[in-house]
Amino acid sequence: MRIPLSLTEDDRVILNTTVKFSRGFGYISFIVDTGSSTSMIGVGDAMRCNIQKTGTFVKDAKIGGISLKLYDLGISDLWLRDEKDEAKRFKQKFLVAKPASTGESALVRSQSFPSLIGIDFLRENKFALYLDPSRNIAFLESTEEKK
Amino acid sequence: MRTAIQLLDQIQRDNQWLKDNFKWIQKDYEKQFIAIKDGKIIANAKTMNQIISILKRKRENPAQTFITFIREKNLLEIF
Repeated sequence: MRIPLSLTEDDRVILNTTVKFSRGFGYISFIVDTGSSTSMIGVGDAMRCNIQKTGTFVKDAKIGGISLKLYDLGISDLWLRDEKDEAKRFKQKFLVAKPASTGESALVRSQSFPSLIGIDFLRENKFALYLDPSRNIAFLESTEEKK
Repeated sequence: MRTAIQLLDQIQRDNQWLKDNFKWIQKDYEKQFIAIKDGKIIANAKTMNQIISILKRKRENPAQTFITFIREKNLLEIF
């Protein structure tokens, strides 16, 4: 199974999904980030999707020079389309980011930070990442052997 | 009501429209959040709070509307 990824105009690798939250579902365009060990929903996406009730504090993070606090959101259902255009559902544990500072400037900047799909999603779902920016090709490929 | 998959398809289309029109959008909306629906920019604002308020006034669901931040042309932001 292959999951097509998009390359943005500024060469970010994007996974478009819809995610089911406690208050309904919303879309999230994740950056596929091989530098992140965990998947997280950014401050802006959390606001947009009305994710207010968060679980326990997990860890601190620093993104784009801004300090964030990451909370456990639990496991959510996530939908995406494979290369055959079939809808696929996955379960994924997410952390949700909240700004550590209440300062206006940090708050506004943190709203523009993206949500990230980290290595945990690739590991748990047995995906390999293929990226060929010169040919505008990017996809996740299942490494699970067919039974 | 839209299903999760219908929403996904809509977002893919809006994402592609952004990519196809990025040059003029970046020029006109640099450092702003924009909301896109069916090939149109339906709202813009300097903060996420503001654009959410605008969308709610227009009876659009922010969770199901494609919103993106247009970064500065000459700023490389590394995540």
